[in-house]
Amino acid sequence: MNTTARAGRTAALLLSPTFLVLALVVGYPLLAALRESLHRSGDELDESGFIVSGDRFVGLDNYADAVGAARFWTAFANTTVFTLVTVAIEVVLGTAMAVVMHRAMRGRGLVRASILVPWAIPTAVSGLLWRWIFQADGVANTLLGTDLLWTSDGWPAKIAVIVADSWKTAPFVGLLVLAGLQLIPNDVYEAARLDGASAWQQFRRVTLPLVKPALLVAVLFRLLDALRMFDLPFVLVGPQKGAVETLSMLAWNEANQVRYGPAAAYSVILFLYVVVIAFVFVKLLGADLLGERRARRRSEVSA
Amino acid sequence: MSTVDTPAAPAPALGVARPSGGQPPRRRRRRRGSARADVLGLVCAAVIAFPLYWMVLSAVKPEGEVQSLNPRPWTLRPALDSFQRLFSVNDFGRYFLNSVIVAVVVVVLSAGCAFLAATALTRFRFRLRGALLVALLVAQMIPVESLTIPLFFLIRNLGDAVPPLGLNQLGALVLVHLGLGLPFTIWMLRGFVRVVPEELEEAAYLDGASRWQFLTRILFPLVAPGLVATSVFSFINAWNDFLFAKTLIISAPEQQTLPMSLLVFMKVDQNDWGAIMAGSTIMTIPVLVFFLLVQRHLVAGTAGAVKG
Repeated sequence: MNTTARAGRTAALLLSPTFLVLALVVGYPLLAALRESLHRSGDELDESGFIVSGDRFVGLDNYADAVGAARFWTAFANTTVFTLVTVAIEVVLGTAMAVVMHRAMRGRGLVRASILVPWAIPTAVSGLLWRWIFQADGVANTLLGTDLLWTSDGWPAKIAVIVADSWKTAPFVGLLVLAGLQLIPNDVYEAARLDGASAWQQFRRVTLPLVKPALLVAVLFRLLDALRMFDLPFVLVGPQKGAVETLSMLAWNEANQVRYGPAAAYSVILFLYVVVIAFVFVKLLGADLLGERRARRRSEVSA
Repeated sequence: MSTVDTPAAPAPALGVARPSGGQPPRRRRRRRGSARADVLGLVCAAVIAFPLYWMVLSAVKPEGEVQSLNPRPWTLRPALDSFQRLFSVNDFGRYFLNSVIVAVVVVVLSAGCAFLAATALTRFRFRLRGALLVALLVAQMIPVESLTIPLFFLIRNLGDAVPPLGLNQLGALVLVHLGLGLPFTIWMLRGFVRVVPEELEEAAYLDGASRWQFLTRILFPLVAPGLVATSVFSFINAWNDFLFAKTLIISAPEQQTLPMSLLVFMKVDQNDWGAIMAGSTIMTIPVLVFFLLVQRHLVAGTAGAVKG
């Protein structure tokens, strides 16, 4: 392992293209949003009735307004519910898919490809596709014998988003879990079978614990993505629908109405929410996710 | 590329008798279990594939049949008029080409950047390493969709300094997708770089190889399957984008990408579902082709990330 100053310089050289791009595309907009969230633009009357125009510093007013608005809490609840429900469904379905993909012998490549395809399809396309399936005279109502307006508002819209998102993203979880499954040596199952473990016991006691690291990585990335859900509800149901508006959509909508300050405040709040969830998740479940602990142990040994 | 065999390629485990487990009774039970898995797999695949079937079906239905009160799960008169309406959109070929250019450039650049970065973050020990790893994870948490406005201003100002990265330029799309895809790509690639034994590196230096030679001659070929896997992610991210094409390409129709051509058929009163589904089918095909070519590496590649 290289620990010299020269190693540091080489590392800096290797990392520079990546962090240059990240500073531009991720760093700058985030800082700009932080600054913007403390300002407000447009004409307004001050206390003495004078018109104030231009960019004004308003401190935390945008945040206060955001937290005071009912619409914010609806979006917050939607974001949380969508995240919890879809990630839970995707973990169960994804694991099931991975087990099937791992086991299926005949036509394995085909099964695997068709199971993974929904994830590879553009979100805009799958949003449209499900909108088409869920429309009033669409195939969903025909198959279910119902007469629901799935893509307008209310709980059917929520269900539509959850179904479409699970369909689209369970394969992603399946892919990561499958990778984990393939690392489990066959002898472990052989031994479990010799000890008389049933298929379910094998799954509970052998597969699940061994595949846990893979599952944690999948869940972490899914949490980060699901909390920022935007395009699927946007295409499937549309903007400004209370039942499916997420925090991302709310922020986008505010920006679209040229209310940059409040939009930035919503973005920052969402960002902090994601950071907190990720932090708690890593602390509670995956202390070794960063691979740092092992690295530290190794460097202690070599020191 | 797709013929390269990878170390983590799926072992043909179940159903195939291994030397240790060849007794007849157990073998029979395993075969029955495997048949059940086959059936389950096919059912799974069918349920998941149904919406896709519906998409392609709607694309080839004749105009009158697409919107009907009793949708039938088949058509007796397949027609291509939906595709004709799609291709009659001005510059459809141009849109397609633009999409391909953006996706391919993003794939190549992010493979390069991610390889260098993942190597530095895995095989070099320096002070800011942990902080940079966390920074990558944080970059993955940015709600990008709500930051389109600052991005818009950034690209506008950038265009004054570096014209090919400005508004209405494909370079702007490349830059944005590169930045948004890199954290996950590097994350996945780290596991791949890590499994290359350190002894190999020491041996290379003993043989008088420079750092650069080690990177390009030894490490790169070993990590290549991982790069193939991550390229799927970069390709899909860039190809699927709707939002940035809409935000950053504002007044140059000839620089638009494929998803925008679908918008033509979205109307307030009546969407042209036949053409939309035809467009969706066309958009899906390159992803599928790319995916089928590399899917074996993809699974093996994610194993690298997971093991990390």
